[in-house]
Formats: sequence, structure tokens, C-alpha cells
Amino acid sequence: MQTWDTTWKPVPWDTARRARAIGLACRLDRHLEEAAAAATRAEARLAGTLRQEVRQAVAASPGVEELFAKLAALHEQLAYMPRLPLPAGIAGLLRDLLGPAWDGDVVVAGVPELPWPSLERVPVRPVALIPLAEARNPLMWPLVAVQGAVASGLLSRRDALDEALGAALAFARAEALFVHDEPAARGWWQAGERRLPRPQNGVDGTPWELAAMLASGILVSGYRRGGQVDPEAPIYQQLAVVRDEPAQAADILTAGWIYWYNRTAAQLVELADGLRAQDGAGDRWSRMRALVDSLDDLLCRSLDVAAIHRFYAAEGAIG
Amino acid sequence: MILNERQILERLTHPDPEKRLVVTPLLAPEQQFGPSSLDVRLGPDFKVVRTSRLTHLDPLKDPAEIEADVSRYTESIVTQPGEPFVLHPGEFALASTLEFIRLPYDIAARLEGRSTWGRLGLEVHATAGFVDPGFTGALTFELKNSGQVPLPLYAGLRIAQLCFFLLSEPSQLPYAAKRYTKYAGRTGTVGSQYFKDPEYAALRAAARRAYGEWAGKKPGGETARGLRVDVDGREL
Repeated sequence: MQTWDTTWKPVPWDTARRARAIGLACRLDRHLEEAAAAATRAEARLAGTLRQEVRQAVAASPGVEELFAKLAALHEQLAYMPRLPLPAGIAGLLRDLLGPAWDGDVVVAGVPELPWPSLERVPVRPVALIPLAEARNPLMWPLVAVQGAVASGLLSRRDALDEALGAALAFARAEALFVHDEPAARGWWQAGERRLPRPQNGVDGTPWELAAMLASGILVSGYRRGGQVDPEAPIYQQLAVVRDEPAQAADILTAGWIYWYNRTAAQLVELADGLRAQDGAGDRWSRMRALVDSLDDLLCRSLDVAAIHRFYAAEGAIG
Repeated sequence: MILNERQILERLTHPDPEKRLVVTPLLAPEQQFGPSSLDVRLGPDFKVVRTSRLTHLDPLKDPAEIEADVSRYTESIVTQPGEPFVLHPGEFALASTLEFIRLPYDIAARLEGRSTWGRLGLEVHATAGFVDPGFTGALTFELKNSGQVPLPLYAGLRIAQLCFFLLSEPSQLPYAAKRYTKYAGRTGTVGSQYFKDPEYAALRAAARRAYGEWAGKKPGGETARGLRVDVDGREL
């Protein structure tokens, strides 16, 4: 079991940028893998070739800009692949953040002239836009929520979203700008750091508790505040100790960012650096995929489960 | 030994992470605990097999092709809070627990239905109710409506229960450490990965050899379809 401490020790800036590109490669690979399973034989062969190219692009270890450009070119080929349903979690997140007025589906579109989502560059459109591989990354969904608010005319929600999503939105904005506007990305990164809750300052430490659970590979849909069991207390009072409180979507995503910058990003870059070697390269790539997939899956599932938990709590069904 | 409610609680709050039983989230422990069991809830994701174009399952096909078949014939449905998934009489669907579960190495578990739902005809597993020590992830429900009326199922309903067994000593081969696990760490509903069992690799190889002999061709020769074959009789 991994150890975890609740201090903000992010990776250096350059590592964060590189991890961003490598993480995108892993998500693109996963998308291709799943699309191939639903594809015709010809499409599946194309997917196989593209997956090899994704891996070779990472193994060639170019600069972040070159890697992004290569991945963007490969990403365009997804237009020839079957359409996949969105990962679980995103619809619930949008309903959660945008309220009952949000009644549309998220439309996922590859937009060649707008490489990656950037609020400053994406014009108002009747749908929310997110590149396909990016849709696999729940950490970027705060941006989708803001785009959704803009696109659906729920502009009154935008300030509320900025407030609610805090650090999670700032980090997503930074990542969206890593390649195209590095100075702006630095600004958002610093804003994210400032907006992180600091448990040692007596502020709510929920995202830090959730990040510690992520480090143990556990679902982060809720947290326990029950304290110690008193064996002398009545049995129902003892049982109440293990009651979970539902986590808010923003806390789940902030925990994801904390864990990404404090742990996953460095591990990912380290594994990618060894990809050039012939021996064990396949194993390294599998471990990179497992690292990214497991975090994404835990976050997606946590968002869904937390939404159900909050539903029953709000309706008074669980005391 | 089956754990009673206090022993389950003790393991849920155990200070040693190696001994701790993880079941999260627990929405309402006072509703979920029984004398020797813990109710678990239905998760939001379901998998249903569309059978109209499926003639049969052929486990001897190439695993990648089977995966493609399974994906093509399986519909994934994710319900939102308050939205039902309707299981009609005779229908079968896969689902999973809302809870994420991690068993320590000295505890096994068994998934059972609840009588409330049994009376309506809902079965929660076909034959796979046993959970190995060291299991981590969401448990799969093999839902079947054996009753006579459609059952609207909502995520979060308590449709099953877990009872826990203490091993006399911790397993040396917990599920997470097994070499051939197919479902460890999965957080949602996962379809059968039967075709990944290593026995099928042997059966596939034997079937290919038999096909090569049947075609009467030696390696490097051609099959009846005019395709070259390798030493296993596999078309190149």
C-alpha cells in the first residue's frame, strides 16, 4: 500500500507539461482500443496501426509541442472510428453542476482548427465541444461544464461554476493552455495552487482526504467523519460511525488533480522515459495505461456514485 | 466463522490497512447492517446482451474478434439518479454494486439476494456468489427477473447482502495477487471475459491444427479458401 502525506508537492512545470501530453496519448490509445472492439475489421486494423503510432510517438520522446502535434494528427483519424458512448460520470456531473435546466447531451466533436479546449478560443456553439480522447479524462470535465454553460445560454451559472469548481477548473484551464499559451497556463496553474484548500490552515480538507483514498486505490465518492467506535454505546450509535458523507463533484475532481500532480504525473513521465528501450517496452506501456486508466475509472465512478448518494441524502431516504 | 455485525464493524474500522475491510460508500449503516450481513446497493450501470443477430458464442475465435463480438452485441446503459432500469420477466442483465469493496487477505465473502426482492422474482447472481479474499472493486450482479411482472430497478436500491467469512489464516494467494485474474480492480459492470481463460488458447491451437489437417495441407500450403497456412494450420 502506498504512503501519502497531505502536502502539496507538485511535479516541476516541465514534467507537468510532459505528463499532460503522455496522459493524452494514453487516453487516445484507450479510445482506439475500445473503438476497435466496436469496429469493422478494416476500422479495427486502422485502430491497430494508430495505436502503434501513438506508442511510437511517446517512445520517440520529442518535445511537448511536437508530441502534441503528432497526437493531434492521430486524433483526427478518430473520425473514421465508430462513435463510442461517453464515459460514465460526465452526464451526471453536468446535471449536477448545471442543474435541471441542462437537458442536452454533451456532443463530442473533433475540431481540427481548435486543437484542444481553450475557453478563450472556442466560440459559442450550440453544443459543448470536447475532443474525443479528452473526453476520457475526467479531470478536464470542469472545462466541459463551463463550455456547456456558455453553449446552452446558462451564463448565469458561469460564476457559480467558477466558485464551485475552484482549483479543479483552474488546473483544467492551465492544462488546456499548456501548449498554445504557456504564460497563460502558468497563471492558471498558480491560481489553482492558490485555490487549493489547505487542511493545515483549518480549511476543509476534504479533497486531501479523498486524494489519500485515491493513493490507496479506493473509490472517492464519499468520506467518513464518524470518529472512533465506542463499544459501550448502543449498537446503532456504533454503526453510525461508518456512515459515509457524499463528496461534492468539485472535491472529487480537486482530489484527482492533487493526486495527478503529486504522484501520477511523475510516475508517468518516468515510465515513458524508459519506453525507448527494446526490453520491457510493452510492459512499460501497459503500466502507463494502467496508471492512467485506473485513476480515470475511479474518478468517473466516484462522480456517478456520489451523485446517487447525494440524491438519496437530499430526498431524506438515508436518515 | 461468519462475522456478526460487531465483527464486521470492527473490520470496517480496523486501524491496520492490511486487516481493514473496505465497503464504500455506506449510505445508511443502520439500514444496511443485519445480524451477520451487510446490505449492498445496485450501481447505475447495466449491460444487456442483444441477441437478435447473435447465433452463438464461439470461444475458439481469435480473442480480439470475440471481444469485438461481445462489444457489438452488448448494450451498456447508465441510469441517472431516480431513473429506472426495467428488467422484464425472463430477462438477464449484468450490473454491479454501488459499493467499492476490498476484502483483506483473511476474509472471504458471499453475495446473497434479499428476501424482499426474492419474493418479486429477482435473482442477483446466477452461480457466482463467492468473493475471494483480496478482491478489490465492484461486485457483479447477474440479474434475472424470474417473476411475472417487470421490475423497475433504481441505482441505490438495496437488492443484495454480503456475509463475511473469517479464514483460519490469511490466504497466500489472494485474488489481487493471482496470476490469472480478469476482474480485479474493476470499478463498474464488466462482461464475461471467459475467452481469456488459458484453456481456450490450447483449444484454439488444437482446433487450428485440426483445421489444417482437414484442409490436407502442410505448413506453407493453402487452405480450401486458397489462403496460406502456418504450422498450426492458421490462415496467414
